[in-house]
Amino acid sequence: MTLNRERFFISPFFVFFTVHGAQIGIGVLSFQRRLNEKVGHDGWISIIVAGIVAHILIWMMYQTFQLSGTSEDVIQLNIQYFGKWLGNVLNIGFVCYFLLLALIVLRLYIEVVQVWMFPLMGTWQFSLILLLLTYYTVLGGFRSVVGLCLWGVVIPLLTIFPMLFFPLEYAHYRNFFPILDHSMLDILKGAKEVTVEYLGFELLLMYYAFIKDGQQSHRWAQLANGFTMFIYLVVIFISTVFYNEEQVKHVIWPTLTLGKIPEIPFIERMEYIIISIYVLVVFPIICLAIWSATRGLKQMVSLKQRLSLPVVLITIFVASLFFNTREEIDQLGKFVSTIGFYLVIGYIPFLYLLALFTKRLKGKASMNERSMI
Amino acid sequence: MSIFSFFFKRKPNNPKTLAQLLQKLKQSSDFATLEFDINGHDFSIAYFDSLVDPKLLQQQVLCHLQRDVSNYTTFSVRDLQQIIPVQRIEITSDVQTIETKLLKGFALIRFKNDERSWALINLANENLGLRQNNDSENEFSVVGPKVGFVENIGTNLHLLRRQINTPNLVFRELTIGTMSKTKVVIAYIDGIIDEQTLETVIQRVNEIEFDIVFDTSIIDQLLSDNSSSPFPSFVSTERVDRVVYALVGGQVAILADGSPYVITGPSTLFDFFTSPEDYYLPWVLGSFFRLIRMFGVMFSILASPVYVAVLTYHYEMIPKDLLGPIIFSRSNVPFPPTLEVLFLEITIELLREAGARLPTKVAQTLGIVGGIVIGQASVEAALTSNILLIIVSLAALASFTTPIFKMSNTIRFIRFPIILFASFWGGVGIAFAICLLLIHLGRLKSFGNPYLVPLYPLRVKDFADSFIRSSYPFTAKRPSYLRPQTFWRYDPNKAKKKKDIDE
Repeated sequence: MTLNRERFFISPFFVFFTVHGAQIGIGVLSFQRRLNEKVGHDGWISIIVAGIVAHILIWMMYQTFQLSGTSEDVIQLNIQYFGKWLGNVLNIGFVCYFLLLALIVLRLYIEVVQVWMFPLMGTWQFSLILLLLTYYTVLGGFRSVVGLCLWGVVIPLLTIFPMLFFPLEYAHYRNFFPILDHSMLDILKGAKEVTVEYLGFELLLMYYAFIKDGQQSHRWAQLANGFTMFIYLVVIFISTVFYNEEQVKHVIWPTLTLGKIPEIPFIERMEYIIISIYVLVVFPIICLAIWSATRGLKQMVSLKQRLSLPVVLITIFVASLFFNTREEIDQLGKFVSTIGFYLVIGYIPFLYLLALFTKRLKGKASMNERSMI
Repeated sequence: MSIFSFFFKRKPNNPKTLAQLLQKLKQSSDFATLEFDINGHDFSIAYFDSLVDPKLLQQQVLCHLQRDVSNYTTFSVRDLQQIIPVQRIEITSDVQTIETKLLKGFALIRFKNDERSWALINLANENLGLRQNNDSENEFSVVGPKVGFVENIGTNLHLLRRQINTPNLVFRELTIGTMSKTKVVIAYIDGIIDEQTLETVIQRVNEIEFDIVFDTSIIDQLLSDNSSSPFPSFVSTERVDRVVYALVGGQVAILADGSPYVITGPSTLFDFFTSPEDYYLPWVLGSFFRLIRMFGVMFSILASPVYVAVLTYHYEMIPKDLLGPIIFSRSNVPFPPTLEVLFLEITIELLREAGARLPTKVAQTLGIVGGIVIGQASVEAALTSNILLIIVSLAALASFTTPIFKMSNTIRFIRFPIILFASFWGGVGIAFAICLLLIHLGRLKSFGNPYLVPLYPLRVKDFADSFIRSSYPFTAKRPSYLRPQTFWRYDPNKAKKKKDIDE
């Protein structure tokens, strides 16, 4: 059985792509504005702070898995540490969170497309086609989802990322100064705002079981988080020197607006290309989240993924039709990011401490037993 | 087997005795039976006139039988080998064997006094009706050997055996086809090939159920892991050097009698874009041309969809300097870009298809008439724009740079769905299509081996011979994704050793 399962595993190296791919999503298009409200031009400090927090949380996750010994995903962890009833309640929460994550990423991307490219297009069209593609991908198993993550990191990195450097032509490097113009509290507020952008690594809780030598992948996960931080720093650097502080407040998607700047002789308005290629950025997240949700259901109530997948996709499709206005989408986004924030900030350290104490207690118990003998 | 197999399910009426078999075979006029009575030895020879070589029959069999049999007082089937100078005369009493062998061009000799065992002599005329040489014109290369495989499997095996001079080269013979009984050979190099892959291949070939094997491409389709994919699962080639290279790298080759194309596998996407010429040119040039080819494929797939997307939805993307020419060339065209593109693309497909079906000399004329006259006329009649004409013909040109014909067909095909996606959702549609393509390629397998390797799963070391063709000191190792038993093709240190300046 174990030998047979080995086929579906991914090598530790690919955790880099799954973690990094899941972290960078739709938020990177607009986080400058939100960050600017809190910390102004000192945003980059908040990004570093939040990045370090994410590093620590990833470390905690890996420690928890190591401490637990037998458990391989969050479903088993919850049952191991919270018992069957409470654990399963938490598990249902997790599955719902994954579904919400897929939903919000899907809806936010469609919103961008609607605003920038096809204002009259119905949500259902893109929703349908994206979910059909998701169906095809998830049907191919975790490996095919990871393959998509690889493309979702490599292709945008080769195409979108270089385009962001064109605005440096109009850079005002003095926008950075004075450094540390804001109080510590403001910076922490900014960090809280930007932690949401690092979300995505928590999906690791679900697919950890599918990594060959799980603990081996730790450094790749950390590296992925570091790389995410690097990308955010580059983006915030370019936006800070390009926009002035007041201007950013009025630009809804500052990163996309940066994409308007590059000009080459045979094509203009690069943001259209960016939005198109952005399918490859959001799509892996949707697939990962949906895969995690169906996998969670399978682990919990042994529901076949083949059966739960269409149901889950139809649910998301229907749900995506209900969010039509900017406010509704925004509220949904805030809701999901709040859950996500408390999940990583609250749940992961709590689980870690719990695992640590259980281990200690058990260790002491066995020590006592030994000394008794 | 179709659903109707139920109705046709009946007991095969195989002849039980030799008399019944001969009775059945005699229905054909080309089945000949010669009766002899030489010096009290009463015997007969039966064979298919159309299958045996008359020269062999006369010189090796009839001649000796007529002359030498009379010297014996008692003569049985077992003594035939003494007088007939043909290697391996088979003695059998199995009617089923006789039937198959007779149909392969053997002659049956039986003696009246011995009704239990019969002799079978191989007199098959192997080369009758088959061409002797193949200049590999369908996969042409300027540099390098031009010998290609022919329809005769014996010649093909000879070509392989001559170049791979090692006892480790193994040919395994199987018979496929309920009606054609085609000889199929699986070739591999023992000690290099991954055992598991070989097992998969042999198992799959054994499972094939078909009536007549016309060509290896039928075996190709029956073997493929996902038969509904437009992408070919295996490379099929008529070039000897390609097959030798594949075998040495740790792949399996499948040959079938009557087919000048040989299948090699497990293949990856890159195998379809490498040409033997890459290895005959210096590595810098080889790599450059390989990159050009890959760029050509990308261009060929994306050029017309991008035209559709930009002109239908994203005309803001056209810079103002370019706007003038486009307006000028499109102002009189009454169709939307999608129809315009489909019109031209289908015209090109028609030209290609007609060119392939017509005799070579007519096809050339047609190419000129079609390419120049129709193209020019349709622009002047304002059916299409000048710019599109250029784009579409460049894309067509680029798609033909792919060395493997099957892949070049695939590339011509997949642009149509992408054009439709582009006409529905513009740039995002193209991105969707690319996404779909990548997922599909990621899921594809060839003999259980991932198709996109070394890209996914990532094998950094195997990149030495993928996008670029590195120089030979760097390609000493066999690709690891094939899991060969021995990794080194040759000693790289010997090749790599560098002398210091002026030494």
